[in-house]
Amino acid sequence: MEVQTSRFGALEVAEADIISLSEGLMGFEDLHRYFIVDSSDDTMILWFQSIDRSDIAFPILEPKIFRPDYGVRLSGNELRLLQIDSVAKPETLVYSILTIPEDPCGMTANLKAPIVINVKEGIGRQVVLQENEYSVKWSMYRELLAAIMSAPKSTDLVAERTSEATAVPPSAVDSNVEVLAL
Amino acid sequence: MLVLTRKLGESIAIDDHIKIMVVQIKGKQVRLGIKAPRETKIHREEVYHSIQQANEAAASANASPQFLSDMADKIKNNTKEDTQS
Repeated sequence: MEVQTSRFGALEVAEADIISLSEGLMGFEDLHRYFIVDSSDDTMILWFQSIDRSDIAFPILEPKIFRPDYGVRLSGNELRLLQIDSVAKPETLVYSILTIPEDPCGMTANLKAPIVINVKEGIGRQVVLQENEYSVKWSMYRELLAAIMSAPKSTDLVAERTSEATAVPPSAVDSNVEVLAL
Repeated sequence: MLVLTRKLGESIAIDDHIKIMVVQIKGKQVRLGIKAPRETKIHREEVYHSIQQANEAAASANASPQFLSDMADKIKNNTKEDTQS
């Protein structure tokens, strides 16, 4: 299907790449269908784009990139709702939502309430973690900077890479965040 | 809403496994002790408000894809000048 987005124009999204959030994101409870957009830059930041509202998209990033010790523990109920039977399976992806102000140095990630996705079933939830040390506004610009600097430039890798945004199948993204049952 | 009156040291039980006890009363503050199965999620309600606010801020931030791409280029160019011809 073709989806209109205010940031990326019209994108073609395969049915299988649609992620359903039965409860939406907090504050956006009416929006249930999303997909992931890779805008092909060197930041590693992806976008969680609403299908139903072209102007709603959240910058997201794998927390392991800036917080290597990050882990997610889900309750039995959350595992059931996500239809995750065995917790360490590769179809489980975890993303933090980023808030990026005008000055990117003030960039923060929400570690307290990540989006957990079951790629195979195409379902996701924003879960609230019990850990008190996980902040809703975790400053991570320096860590991201270090990660960007150590990563190879995308233009070095693919000479004729276009800068066009593409809807990516979530399964194409390699996640290595550990997800555990409580 | 069910409203119950409890004294210091008294508890209420929810289902068979959750117990909430009044541990301390000090002026306008009440300290509660909560005993629940490990998988029960317990949060101050403000946590949900702050998550909601963070989501709204994340969606309305003016960080466009172009902004991020420029940011990445700037970082790369500043730090990898020796590799640029």
